[in-house]
Amino acid sequence: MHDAVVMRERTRGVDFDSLVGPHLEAGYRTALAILRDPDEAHDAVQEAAFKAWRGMRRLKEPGSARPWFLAIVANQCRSMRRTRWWSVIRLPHVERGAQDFPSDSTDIGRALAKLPADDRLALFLHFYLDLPLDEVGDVLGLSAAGAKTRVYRAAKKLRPDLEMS
Amino acid sequence: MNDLRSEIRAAFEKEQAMYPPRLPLNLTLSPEGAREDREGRGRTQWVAAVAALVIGALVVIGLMSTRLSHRPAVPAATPHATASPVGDYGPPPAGVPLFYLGDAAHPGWYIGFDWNGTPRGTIKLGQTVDPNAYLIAAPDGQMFDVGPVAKGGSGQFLDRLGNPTSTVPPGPMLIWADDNKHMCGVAWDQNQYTWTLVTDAPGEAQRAVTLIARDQGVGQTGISLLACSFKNDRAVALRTTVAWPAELWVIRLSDGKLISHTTYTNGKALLNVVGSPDGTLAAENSGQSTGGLGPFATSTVVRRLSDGSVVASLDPSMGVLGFSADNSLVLVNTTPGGGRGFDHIAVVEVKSGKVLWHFDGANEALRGFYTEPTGAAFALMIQNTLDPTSHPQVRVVVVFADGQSAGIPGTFVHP
Repeated sequence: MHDAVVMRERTRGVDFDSLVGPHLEAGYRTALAILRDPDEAHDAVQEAAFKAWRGMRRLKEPGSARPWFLAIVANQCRSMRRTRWWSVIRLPHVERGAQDFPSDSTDIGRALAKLPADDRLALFLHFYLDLPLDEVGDVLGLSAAGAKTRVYRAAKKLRPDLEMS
Repeated sequence: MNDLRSEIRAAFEKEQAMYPPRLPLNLTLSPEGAREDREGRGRTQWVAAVAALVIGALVVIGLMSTRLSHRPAVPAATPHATASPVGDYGPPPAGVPLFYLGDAAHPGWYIGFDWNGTPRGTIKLGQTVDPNAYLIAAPDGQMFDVGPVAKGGSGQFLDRLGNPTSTVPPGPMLIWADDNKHMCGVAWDQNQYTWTLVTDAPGEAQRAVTLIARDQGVGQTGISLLACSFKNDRAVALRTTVAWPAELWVIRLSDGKLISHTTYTNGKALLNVVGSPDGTLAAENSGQSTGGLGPFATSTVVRRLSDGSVVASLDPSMGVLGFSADNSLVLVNTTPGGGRGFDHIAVVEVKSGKVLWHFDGANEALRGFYTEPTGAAFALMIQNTLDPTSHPQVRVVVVFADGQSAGIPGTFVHP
């Protein structure tokens, strides 16, 4: 039988709930930072949770569950931004005005809003979620050094006179 | 840098404070999960998965309710039967290809229908199978893979009458091969970072056919099987990176030799790749088949895997969901739709591109389908999209090779 919606996998030994459950809120906040729409962010994190369950075999070690799950969330958000047909319908809704996102009303908020999504994500992960650079790299598919460069370049777009420390 | 850090953090905090998580973001929102909490038992992984599905379905309802309200209601192309037959049709006959549907009145009973839509037998799994289990019948319905079993474990093979024959070893998700005897899968070794093609059969040890690839990516890439054909001695495996098809292997099952390898340089323009059951054709579905924003492939292409030649070029709004067993027809979804619920679907003749049958659902969507193992028919399970359960009731329509269709009276439980 071909199941168009659900792919079932056999029960595996690891407790999925305890692995991913603690990172759901971080997943939602990451999705919100990328999509800037709470409805779509909820949508994305639920989809990501299901994908994580299906792909749990790819998790190398339980200790890396956070960047692993956040990477899936980020990928889901990118996918939603690119491919979902209803994004066409909701596009005006997604591109909200400043009143919906108060951070846009400040200089730094406006500058953040204009950043490319991956730059914005790098800053969010490192400065808001306080992820270490190696975990930021895992989420973005970069090395720790690459993540540091991404964070620095993104920050420099906000403050051109910034010196790397 | 520290000042900037504080400013960035403050800006994000301000933004996040506006939209805190609305739902309790908890994977155990299902009744099963709640019951387990009350009873103080440990949560099992499949309960979490069911909960995730329920949550996902609830989100779908919310989304669909806003979107479908803008569309004119389109009547279904086939009659919607309401009478519910059911019952004990005796032991399923040997040698007759059957497809199975759950009996809504008797949990654990599955009715086998022949490809004229006639009930021919019932298997009664009763309490030996967990209510959240899956039942995957071989293409001809003469054998089953069921799991997880009530007492734990990965699953069991059942014979034609539903009697357990052997245990399914722990491992990857398996698909039935076209010989109706074997199952195939891709096993991921998280210590060695390897993807290995494996086959299983009732009463036999799992066989590792060959190593497909080594992989260091976490959450970024995965390899899955598109087809497994013992008749043509081949399996077709696809690597998906992030959300895009990246490379495809055709592998000989008998000796593990690589028959062909394809790299998708246009992967980001594609939604996915779907294989024919015999492993000879692959459909490269344009990303436009989900109706999103481009750039997307300008057509959905059906390609012969032996030489890469194009067999058919379909409108990019069509995404192939599956091939008929004789490769003459494809079941497609069309836009708008796709992604979560295929509410616009069609059966298309491969050689001409002609639409033989179509369905435009209002609050209904394709839940799954069977392919006739020796012909060109499809049995489509159509679900009311307002039913969020993991085993929803479905009505069933059989679409024949000439585009004629017939509804099977009653509603059934998706296996």
